[in-house]
Amino acid sequence: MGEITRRDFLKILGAGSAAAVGLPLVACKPPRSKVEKVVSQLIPAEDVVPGIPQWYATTCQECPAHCGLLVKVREGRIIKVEGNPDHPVSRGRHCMRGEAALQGLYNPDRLPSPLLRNPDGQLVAVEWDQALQALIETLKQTPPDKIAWLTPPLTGAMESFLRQWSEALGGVRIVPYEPFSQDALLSASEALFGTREIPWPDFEKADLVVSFGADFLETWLSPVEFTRMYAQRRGDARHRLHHIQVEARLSLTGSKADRWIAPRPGTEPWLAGLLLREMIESGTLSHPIPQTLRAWAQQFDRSAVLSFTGVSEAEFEHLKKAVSEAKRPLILGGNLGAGDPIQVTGWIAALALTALKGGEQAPLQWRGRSSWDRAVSFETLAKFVEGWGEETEVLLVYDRNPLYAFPSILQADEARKRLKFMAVFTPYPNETAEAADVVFPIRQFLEDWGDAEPYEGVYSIQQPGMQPVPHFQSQAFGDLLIQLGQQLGISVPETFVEYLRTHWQKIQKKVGDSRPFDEFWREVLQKGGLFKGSDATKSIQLQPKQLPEVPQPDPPSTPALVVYPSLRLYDGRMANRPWIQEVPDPLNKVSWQSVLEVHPDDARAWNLKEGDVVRLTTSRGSVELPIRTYPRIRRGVVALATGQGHTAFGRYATGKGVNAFVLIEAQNGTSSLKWTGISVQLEKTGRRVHLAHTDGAETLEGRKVAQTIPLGVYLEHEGELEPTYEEEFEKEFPATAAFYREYHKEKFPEHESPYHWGLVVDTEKCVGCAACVVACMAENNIPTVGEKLIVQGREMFWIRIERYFDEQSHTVHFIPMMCQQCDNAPCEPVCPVFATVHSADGLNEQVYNRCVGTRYCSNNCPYKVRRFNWYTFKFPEPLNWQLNPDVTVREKGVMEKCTFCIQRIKYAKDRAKDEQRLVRDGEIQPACVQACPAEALVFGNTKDPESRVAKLFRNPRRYRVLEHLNTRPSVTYLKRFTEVNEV
Amino acid sequence: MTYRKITQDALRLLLSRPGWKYFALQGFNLLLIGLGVTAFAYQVHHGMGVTGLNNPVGWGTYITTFVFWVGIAHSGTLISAILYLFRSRWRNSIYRIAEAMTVFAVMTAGLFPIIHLGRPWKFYWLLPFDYFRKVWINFRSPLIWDVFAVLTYLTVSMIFFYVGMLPDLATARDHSTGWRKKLYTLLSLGWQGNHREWKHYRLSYLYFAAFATPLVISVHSVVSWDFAMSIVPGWHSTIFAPYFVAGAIFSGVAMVITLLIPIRKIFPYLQDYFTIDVLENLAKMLLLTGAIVAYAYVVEYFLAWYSGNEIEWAAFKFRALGTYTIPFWIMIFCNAVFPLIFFFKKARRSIPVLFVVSLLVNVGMWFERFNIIVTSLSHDYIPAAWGIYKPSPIELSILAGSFGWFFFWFLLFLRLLPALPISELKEIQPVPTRKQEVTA
Repeated sequence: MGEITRRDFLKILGAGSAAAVGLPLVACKPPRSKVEKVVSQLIPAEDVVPGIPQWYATTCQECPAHCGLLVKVREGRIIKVEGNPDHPVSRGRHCMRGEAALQGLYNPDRLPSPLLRNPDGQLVAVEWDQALQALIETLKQTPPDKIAWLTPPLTGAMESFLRQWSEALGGVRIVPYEPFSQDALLSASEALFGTREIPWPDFEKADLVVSFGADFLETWLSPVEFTRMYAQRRGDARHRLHHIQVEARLSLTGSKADRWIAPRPGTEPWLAGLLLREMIESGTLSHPIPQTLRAWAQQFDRSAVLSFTGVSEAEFEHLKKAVSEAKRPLILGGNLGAGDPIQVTGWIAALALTALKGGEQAPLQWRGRSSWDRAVSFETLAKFVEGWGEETEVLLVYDRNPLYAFPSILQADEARKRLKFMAVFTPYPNETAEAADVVFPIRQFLEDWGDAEPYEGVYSIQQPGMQPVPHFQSQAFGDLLIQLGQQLGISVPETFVEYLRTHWQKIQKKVGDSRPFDEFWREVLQKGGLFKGSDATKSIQLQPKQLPEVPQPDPPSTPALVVYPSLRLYDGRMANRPWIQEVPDPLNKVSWQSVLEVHPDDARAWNLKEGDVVRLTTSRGSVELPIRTYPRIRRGVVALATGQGHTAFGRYATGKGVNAFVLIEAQNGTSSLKWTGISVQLEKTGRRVHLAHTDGAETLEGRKVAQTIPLGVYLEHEGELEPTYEEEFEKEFPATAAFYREYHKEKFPEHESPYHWGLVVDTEKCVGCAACVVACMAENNIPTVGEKLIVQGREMFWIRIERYFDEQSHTVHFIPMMCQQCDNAPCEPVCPVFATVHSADGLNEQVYNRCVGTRYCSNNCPYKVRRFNWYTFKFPEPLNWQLNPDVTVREKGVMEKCTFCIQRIKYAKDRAKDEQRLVRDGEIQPACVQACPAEALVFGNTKDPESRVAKLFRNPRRYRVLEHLNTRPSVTYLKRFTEVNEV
Repeated sequence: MTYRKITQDALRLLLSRPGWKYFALQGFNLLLIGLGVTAFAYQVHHGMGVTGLNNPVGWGTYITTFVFWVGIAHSGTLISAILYLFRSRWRNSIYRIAEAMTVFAVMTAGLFPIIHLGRPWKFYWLLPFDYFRKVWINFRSPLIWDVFAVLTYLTVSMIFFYVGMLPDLATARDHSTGWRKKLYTLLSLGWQGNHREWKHYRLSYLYFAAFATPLVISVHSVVSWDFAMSIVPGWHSTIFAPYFVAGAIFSGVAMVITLLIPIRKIFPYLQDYFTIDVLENLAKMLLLTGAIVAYAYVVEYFLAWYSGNEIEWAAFKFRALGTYTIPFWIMIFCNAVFPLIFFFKKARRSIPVLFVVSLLVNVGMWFERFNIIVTSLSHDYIPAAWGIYKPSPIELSILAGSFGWFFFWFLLFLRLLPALPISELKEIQPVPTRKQEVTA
């Protein structure tokens, strides 16, 4: 042992004191696992300011209507989808399916990696290279003409790119297919006008719309656009559009109609034909009638048609009178019916009558080629599927789910087995992917480049709003094609974006824009596209050459099944979105399940109760599902919506309900589909299920929740202004009003605010589509609770669409009900802990952190709009990426409710304060108001007498729900019109 | 009846060791409590979703059971205080048991407002105590009135219970040995039984009786305002306070009968005190309060109809004929029909009839509150929001646990505290003459 030097001594001393000081510090440190890495942004993205959202314009790819969207991006994540106000299709609005695109992006069940079928026949996760190699081998070994694509009806750059790619490979066929195709309409248009294009309805020109089944507010052609136009015309009291709906099962569209005629299902076209004949024979048509048409119409015999359609003389006379009195009626045929000669008949009659009545002014317009006319006819599709294994050995499926959505008559399951190889390009696992040999996870459209051209002159860009969701190793479909092309030795561009830019350079040239391309491109990206509109100036000219023979009707059957397209699930592609599953059907109010709609009298006669499970058998197949009574259906008819019954489509869709495509038959003697009037057998199974429905009652039970006003009465008072609610209150309770006024002024002068927020709901315009409900869920982090909790009555919607079947007429009342932000709120005094208080702006605020969960406020809320957190609801990764950072995620045991989107109010108020001004009228749009395609909701400051809401608050149509309780709500409803143009 | 006999009978339960049946019963009660506690823990962990409550029906079994136990609590004070002030001396033998029932029923009831909270760990936010939150409680909320009413009632009834017991505890002290002696010495606060003490004791007893009397009326009135102050059709009614008070006394008296009869049966020597005359008097009270309750039912319906308020009338029609028609008719028969049998003296003096009817009244009164709470909420103003509530197993477990909790304390009381009021029983004995034995 040596001596301790001075240096050693100092070392030891230093170490000792360091230990003495350091140890307690170490002990104070939190456990290591809790420490999270915080890496500062050394070089922050230029335009990203935390807390300020960015907006990117893009295009919806969920249906062929291709609405323009704006995606809201916060800190690099898309948190909300809204409509693009500049876009001619959506005009800033969207439907619930568009909103739910977000849950397609963040769907927790998206494919994380490519899948390849191994020698044991199992699909296993593989690396990208391996999967691509497997496909390339196959493509190399197969003659190109034995390869085929199954795609959606593509438009824009992807359409031309895929076409060039396929041609370069040596003639690979492309089969675009859309389950709700407009085949019949296109064939009729071809027969009458000589052009296979969609004659688009023009609701602005029409004064009457008669729809023989077209659900133009739900799925037909371009529902968001039509809803806006229709609602506008319906809300315009002076030029109100009259509406007659002819269908066996009242659809959401029909529920807004002034009159409903319910023929036997599937016989509507003959009624349209008879109408045409009688109108021709009446001699009231002022336009020349082509001889072929006159002869064709002779085939409809009045007594025969009326007898097998089951429509009474009186009803038909009403219809005839309404049409003959109208100047420019818009007659529409059926919705579904791919290639169905019966539907073609209906459309010929409908279009011919529209053209004959309106002549040059007929409410139809040409928009050139559209996304709809690109789909193949059902006949072609049937032949294509038949050829699987022979003409087609290798099937490449892009964004389609044939093994689910092909009607069972195509026997796609069997045909699949004949294929040598099937490759599927999809973001999600589905029935087709499950049967594929190789599956490529592609990007969802919100994270990918592309474009669309819903109709001529509307060039709509699709740009990614964010980096691809990192949970999934997805690739852009276009880039995949390029990779494949490179390997297969065909000439392809570097990236798909490059191709897209080239494509848009052509568009720029086409529209005659001479700016530098980058400038043009920037504007396109900002605006969401180039919206020139169709320059087709073609007039509506009847040129019937050879009209198809009118088919003989099938013998009527009872019960007869109607399969109708679902507003929520569409053809089933939306079924893996929890919002869509959670939001109940607007009419039968059932969510998560499939139900068979049965007339209540039939249910009684057949000894069935709600929730009884029946076995439904058609010639094609059989399913078991519970029944739901539905009073707006012809006796002897049962109805079922499309979209449920998935067997492999992620956790939210799999095992829910039944697949209607299984039941659809071929039309008698043809290879076309029969959607309505399918003859079925019903058998009681003895089982019962609890229906996941959200409605408490079918009718108003005598309550004045929904109110109406005769149009005539309203017209007498149009333009007048009622006294304001404050004036009324003053008059009725002068002492109380004075007390409130003085008390507040003296005691709380600081509580004076220039704002009092109010909302107007026009029940005439509201079509009940529930886009607002989904928008609200997206904006306010509202959880989906699932089937079981809906059965228990624990839905969490902050806004609900109340549906009441009218007791006197066929109409259905839709009342959007959200927190009424009462000035005299019953919920406020009963809270023991001041968790719900009134703001100076007239809002009824809920302070989550103060809430102890007595639920007294909810009990005392006459509108029952408060929602209690029964559990702490979880958002499975990466669904939680969608959560709005401006809104608290609530935990179990607290109450919540509509806030009028207070985060948006705050945002606007802050900005106004920065700019030293007041918030402008229309500057704030709560999520529901923003979404509403019918523009039925208006939000604003009622203290500003010039604001839209302040004026609407004094409209002669105004009423407040449960006004007699003196809750003084801040939501005013406008009464619905009745007895319009009664003939 | 001699003073000695009274003393001996009263102390028999206190000074002897209970048999195995007693422990078995207590074990069963503990089991029920365990079930309730487990259910509550489960509920706290998962959330209120484990109950049957839903969107329109925010209150169900818990609030029903709360009102039920508060109601039970009422007749104790009625018997001990009001009948004392009215000098109804027949109440002397049973008032201790009735008061004990009151205290334990309030203790049971007080749990439910906490159990029914969405975030029960924050229950103290309902107390006027803003130290952490800097938010005062909302004095406009009937729930806050409830907190005050129930806590006041618990405090006063416990003091009254204890004060009334003091001389008897001293007697127990004088007759006991071992740990019991220590316990009673502590509890009797040095009571000697001298004149000065008796003078003060008498005065304070009178004072507490006078103090407790208005509480009988006020507490249940306040509880009824939880409903009456709201705007829910079926709740918002001025009749609620008297209606609830009468109902409370009705159910409390029924509970006293339900408790007395088994005690009489198990300890036959107590039949000398809990005489058939006492029971008959109770039956008469049951008849009277039952008639008031039945009258209230009729008036409620009459008002709903006569008001011309369609929504109110629809709520009452739904109550009688809708989904909850069975609970409704259980209520009507148990509360308004079966007690009518006590118009017959024979029935009033028949132990089986008394027991069965008192049990039925208990059941009926639970359902009365269930009907008022659940049917009104499930069909209120907006038809689209209507919904149906069914109690879940968790709620029923906690309900069962509350009975275990109540009976656990009650059985403990029977064996630890003088259930027979010794001094007051002696008061109503004829003054002993020289021939008779004089002992204290």
